[in-house]
Amino acid sequence: MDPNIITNTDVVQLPSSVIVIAVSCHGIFDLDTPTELDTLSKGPTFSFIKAIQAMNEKLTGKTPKVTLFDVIILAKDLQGNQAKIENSIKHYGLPISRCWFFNNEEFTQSLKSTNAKLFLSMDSSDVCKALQEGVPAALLCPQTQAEGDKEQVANPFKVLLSGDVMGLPEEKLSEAGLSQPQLQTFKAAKASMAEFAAVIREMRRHFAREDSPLRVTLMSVLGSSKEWASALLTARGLGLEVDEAYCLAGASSGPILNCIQPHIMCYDGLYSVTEVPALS
Amino acid sequence: MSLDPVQVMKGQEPTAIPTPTTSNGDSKGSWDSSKDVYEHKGSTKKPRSAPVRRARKVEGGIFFALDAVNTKLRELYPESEELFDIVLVTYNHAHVGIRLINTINYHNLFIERFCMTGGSSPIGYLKAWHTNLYLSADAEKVKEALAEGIAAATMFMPEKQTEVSETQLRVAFDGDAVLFSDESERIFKAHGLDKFFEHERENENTLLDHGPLKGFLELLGKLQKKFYAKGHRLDCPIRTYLVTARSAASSGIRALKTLRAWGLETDEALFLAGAPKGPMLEKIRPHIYFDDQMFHVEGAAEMGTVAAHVPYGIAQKHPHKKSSNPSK
Repeated sequence: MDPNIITNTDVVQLPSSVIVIAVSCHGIFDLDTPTELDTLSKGPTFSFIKAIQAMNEKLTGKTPKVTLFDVIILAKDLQGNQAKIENSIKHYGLPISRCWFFNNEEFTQSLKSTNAKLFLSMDSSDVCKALQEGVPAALLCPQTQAEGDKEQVANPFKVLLSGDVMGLPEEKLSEAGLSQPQLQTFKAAKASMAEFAAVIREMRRHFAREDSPLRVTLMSVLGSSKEWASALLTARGLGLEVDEAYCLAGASSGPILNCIQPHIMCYDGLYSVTEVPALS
Repeated sequence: MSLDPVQVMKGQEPTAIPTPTTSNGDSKGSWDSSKDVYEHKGSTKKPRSAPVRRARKVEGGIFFALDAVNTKLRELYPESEELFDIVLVTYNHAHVGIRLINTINYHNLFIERFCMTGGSSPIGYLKAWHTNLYLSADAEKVKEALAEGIAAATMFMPEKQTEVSETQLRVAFDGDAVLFSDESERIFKAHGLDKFFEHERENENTLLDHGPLKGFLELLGKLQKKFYAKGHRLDCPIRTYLVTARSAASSGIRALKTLRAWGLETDEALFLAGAPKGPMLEKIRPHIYFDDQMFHVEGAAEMGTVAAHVPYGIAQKHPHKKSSNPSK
């Protein structure tokens, strides 16, 4: 069964040097609330697309011929909603070049066919699958922001890296009593770290430091300050300039995440682990 | 019982801090970012200790004291997470992070949690950490924190610090506009000493309203009670002091009654009736002293006490005049 690919003719076809990002449709639009209208209302991660758009526009303003991102929407099990999704993309004027519709079984295959450098989704199991297949992937985070495009665009695009993935040795995790699936996800995340970093680096490259619409944050939840320092060094080694860094050393991450409000977040399999005491 | 984490955030150290002279692999020459270092100290569910001190080991006194408190707490209540927790908060960008950690390790300071905001305001994070006390050398940030209802004070380090205990944490508080509101202070500033006495006498049985650091004293008190419960009344590793310009025989009564009504007490209450606080503090040797008037803060620092200014209340608009120092 071939994936159903819809091309958005409003968006100019892009050269191959752009960063291909595959984003899950769920969350961008509100697919749960039934509606009579032709278009869907915005979902909790809609602001992500706007942030990408802002980055593209900023770049186009500087060098008109260069576009940074090629955004593809992946719509799993949404064949019934094709028209609505298409209409919504046009309605909001989103910089999405293609929309792929497929069934759940075809997920990994579809993902690979997109040649995406980065896969983003609110669904952690999808992110896990992508990581296992060697595709750099991250969690799309719902934004708790006020209504209105203005607010959503004004904030910089925030990427949250996992200090634990970058600084924590695997042996410590097994000691901490993490389950096998969790360990596997952690390892997969670690393996794709370099590629993920390359994508971020590519984004960074186009903007000056002071005025950058991109903000890189590193947060380590489990690791001690030594491991956090090690993570910072690893980030430096990967060519990533980190703007904000937090070392929680076992404190619960919820309130801090609420403050940081990242758009995308590295999924390290430890996301739900909030009560494990700090390893030192 | 679970207490909300008590967090004390210590802010920026003043710039007159000597840089460490020995090399640590990482270049320390440009530690001028020390200006931007905020420390966050607090008693929370997790253990930790005192504000970062610079250079000399003697200045690490408060860290050791806080660590001593934590150690005892862990001994007596191994299941509990109610301990002091310090979080270092800084405006710096993360690239300073590694140098920061190296310096902290170099001085053997017990800080495990970090918050490098890369230029964003830390106030949101203070709330997220449930900060119980925020200490900083930046008065503006302290005022912002106070406005958000977080106990906060601006740090002033003495040129030469008196030695402090490494086993007992001592915290000293001024009364008006620190533990209590500034209502009496207002009367004094507006109508003079006599009116102040009259007012206090008339209102002896009316409780004073609470001040910005009442909550912190309360938390210290809770921790103290945990020690008392296990038989450590006499050798409690936390000791609190009230150091006020009020008089014991008159205006001080209202202060004591208020504390009692709140179910709070300080181990010692010193009513100075207007005498300078510096010499008294030098005798007590608190690890930190909170006052709302710069005059007293400076006086304390001159005599070797680490003092913290609480920029709250009427005293900020009408600073103390050095020439007149009437007793209250």
